Amino acid sequence: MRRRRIIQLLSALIYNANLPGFAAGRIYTKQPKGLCVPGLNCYSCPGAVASCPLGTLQNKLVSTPDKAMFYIIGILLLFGVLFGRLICGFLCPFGLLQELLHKIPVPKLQKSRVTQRISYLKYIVLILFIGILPAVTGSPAFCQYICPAGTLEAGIPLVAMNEGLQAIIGGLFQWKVFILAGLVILSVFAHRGFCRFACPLGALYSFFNKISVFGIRVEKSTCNHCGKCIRACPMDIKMPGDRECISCGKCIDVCSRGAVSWKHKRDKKRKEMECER
Amino acid sequence: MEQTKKSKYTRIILLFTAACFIGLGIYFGGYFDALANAARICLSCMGIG
Repeated sequence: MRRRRIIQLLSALIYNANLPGFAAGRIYTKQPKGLCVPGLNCYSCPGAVASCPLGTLQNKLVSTPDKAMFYIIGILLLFGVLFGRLICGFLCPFGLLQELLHKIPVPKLQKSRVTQRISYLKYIVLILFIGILPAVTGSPAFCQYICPAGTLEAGIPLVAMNEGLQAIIGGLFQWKVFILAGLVILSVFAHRGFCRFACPLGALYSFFNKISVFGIRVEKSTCNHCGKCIRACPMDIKMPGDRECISCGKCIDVCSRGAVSWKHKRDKKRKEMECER
Repeated sequence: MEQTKKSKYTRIILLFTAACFIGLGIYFGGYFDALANAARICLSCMGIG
């Protein structure tokens, strides 16, 4: 768990390595800004040295809808096939923030069948705000109306450092701050509320969870369906490694039969056993 | 077909597709589009424009 936290902190730092940008209140525009990071990290964050995959995708839909989105689709495919939602568990700064907020000692909202149902909402957000609305309205709808990472990392710091922007912000900015505040409060009570219920990037990566190179797998022949892994998991999983799994590894720690493991470690062990034969 | 083999072949096909798409994207200049519209994304995420 400690290793995961270190990786989360490092990735947040690497994504936003342009620390002088926060003091200057300016967006970094040099290379490698053309590259996409795997997690949700706003392009317009003064510290961001690379792009957000969702922002890039919407920007492509909005600006050059006649050109095929080769690059961004290729990047998302690559990230998905390699990592699936392990990106959520290890490489997303906004996920890290939610986990830290959840440590605040207050009564917690437990997961249930209701939260499992609500978790489908993120697929609606994906289709509507990342797909349909940008293509139809010509605006990056998720960035513009919802993205809490954008408000926190970009909107607020840039408005704070630029008097010109302070003069022209309006109702939309207030709406976005309201959304951010709501999600911050939700994260205190519900583990990773945004990730579970609204994140379209998590929704996208979830389709790759079963086939991703890195992640968690259950050995069905060893599993006795005791349910310890599901109870230990803070996400709305039905089984470790399914679409809701963010590969945090808590299930591996509690499985008494060793049925749950990291995919790459299981594959390595199998190869070693085959070599011995 | 065994599930592991199915996953393995799916991975290979998708990785190959990803590589082709990224290559095509760089070739056609999609790589630079993110920079070209920086101002638009910036203003949008602040709720302006």
